[in-house]
Amino acid sequence: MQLSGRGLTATLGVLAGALLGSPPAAAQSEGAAANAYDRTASEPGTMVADTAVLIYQEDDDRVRAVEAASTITWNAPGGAVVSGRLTYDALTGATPNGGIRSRYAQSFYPPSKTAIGGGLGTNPDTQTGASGRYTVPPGQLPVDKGFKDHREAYDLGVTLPLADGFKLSVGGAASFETDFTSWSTRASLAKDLWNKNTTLSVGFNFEHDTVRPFTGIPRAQSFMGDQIAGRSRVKRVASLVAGITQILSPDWLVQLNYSYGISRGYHTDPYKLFTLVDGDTGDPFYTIYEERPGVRRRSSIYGATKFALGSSVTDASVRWYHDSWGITALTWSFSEHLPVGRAAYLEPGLRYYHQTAARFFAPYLRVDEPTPRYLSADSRLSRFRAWTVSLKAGAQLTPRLEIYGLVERYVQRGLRFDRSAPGVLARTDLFAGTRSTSVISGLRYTWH
Amino acid sequence: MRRSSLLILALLPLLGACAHGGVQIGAKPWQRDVLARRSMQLGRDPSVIAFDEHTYFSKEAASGGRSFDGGGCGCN
Repeated sequence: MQLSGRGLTATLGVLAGALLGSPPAAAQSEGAAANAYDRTASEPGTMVADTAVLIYQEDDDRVRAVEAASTITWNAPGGAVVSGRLTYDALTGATPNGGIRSRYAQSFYPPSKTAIGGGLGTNPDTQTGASGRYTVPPGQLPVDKGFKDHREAYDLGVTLPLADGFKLSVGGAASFETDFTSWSTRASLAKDLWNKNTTLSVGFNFEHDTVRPFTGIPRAQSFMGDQIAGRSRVKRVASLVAGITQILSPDWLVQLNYSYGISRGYHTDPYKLFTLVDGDTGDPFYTIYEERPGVRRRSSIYGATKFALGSSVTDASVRWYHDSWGITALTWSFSEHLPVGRAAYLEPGLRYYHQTAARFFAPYLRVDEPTPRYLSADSRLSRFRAWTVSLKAGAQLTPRLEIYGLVERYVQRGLRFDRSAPGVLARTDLFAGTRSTSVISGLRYTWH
Repeated sequence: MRRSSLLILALLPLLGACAHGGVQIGAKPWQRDVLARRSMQLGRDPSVIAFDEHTYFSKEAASGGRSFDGGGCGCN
């Protein structure tokens, strides 16, 4: 029974309009729409400029990021779309270095760049000013306060409609940081089937990354201050995404994607350390550089759905993720688009994320234990769960100008205390996860 | 794990086949007004999605799903 009340209302509206002598509200796409966001999205022959700013702040004066992005999209009358995007971000603050808290002050220093006379921690970086050497007071989480970087990223994409309902998209991206460069290229093909109720797509992406740490590449699992193993390292990532988008009813659609990616090269975080502790007292005994495997295979299945009820839209998605490092993650996300007046909306959102630990993750190891082939104390590889609570809003100020914004709170929770840990570690907070607040605001202008 | 992913992948075309077959799913060309709405688009507000994905990429081990899993960022 798809001849719903809405269809009937529209028909009656057109009839009533004709009787009253007013122009019929054509397909309720423009004037008759109850809310500006009920209007049709497809706008061939338009140019859209979008600029947005993100301010991201972690609790305890950890990382702060300010990120600005501008996108220009040209929707050609024939259906082709050309889009260019420029992103700039600046990061400052303190990031956990992988070491554990201690009841004593701890000093950390980078690898030395020369065999003789390099000295410990005398490799000041000309761009960030960081020396790589710092001391952490007793009881505090070891963080590297010299963390400071900026990034410029460029992205260009073109989508071309081909014959028989095929659509080809190609694009490329480049990203530049003081110590990291990334290039990527992508291509995907989509095909509409069965009166455009089904869309199949397949895409490939290839990425080439170069890391050039300002401290040099540390010798993996070696002691702090040891001579560097090189200046830079490379990583290559090849990814595939295959998906289907299916319209289930006139107000309900679903999307399902399968992704597979293989990454080869340097995955180790050159700034991350690892603490070996005294097996009796639990005090740090020795600090070494971490080491991760040279290959990582990732798979994920992503499902999303959108369902409209009146002018409200429910958006839900779930992702299952697994990689060859032994991490399995599940992500649930839910948001509700609620119209406000004739030109605005509110969108509360909730996201839940859970991941298991990488096989080689450990917050510390005892110095009398054999050291495994790979090891990392990076909390991003640990077992944790995370909640995001968000509120998004937008308003169509004029037919051409839209304003939007988002406030978001993100909290990670993991295992903080391990009663079986040796000595003082049984009473030491071992989790280095993040809590952060994000604020986004943006403007979008459309030329018809 | 790998086997279950392949099974789900193999089931994808079945969903499409249902649309083509006797099961009444989908929308007729004249029933597209709701689906065409701005509020119904997948991946609306790409800037917000890009900011969020960048944040999650730098704080979590999992990435991708909606799109490619790279990051173009040295943050993880």
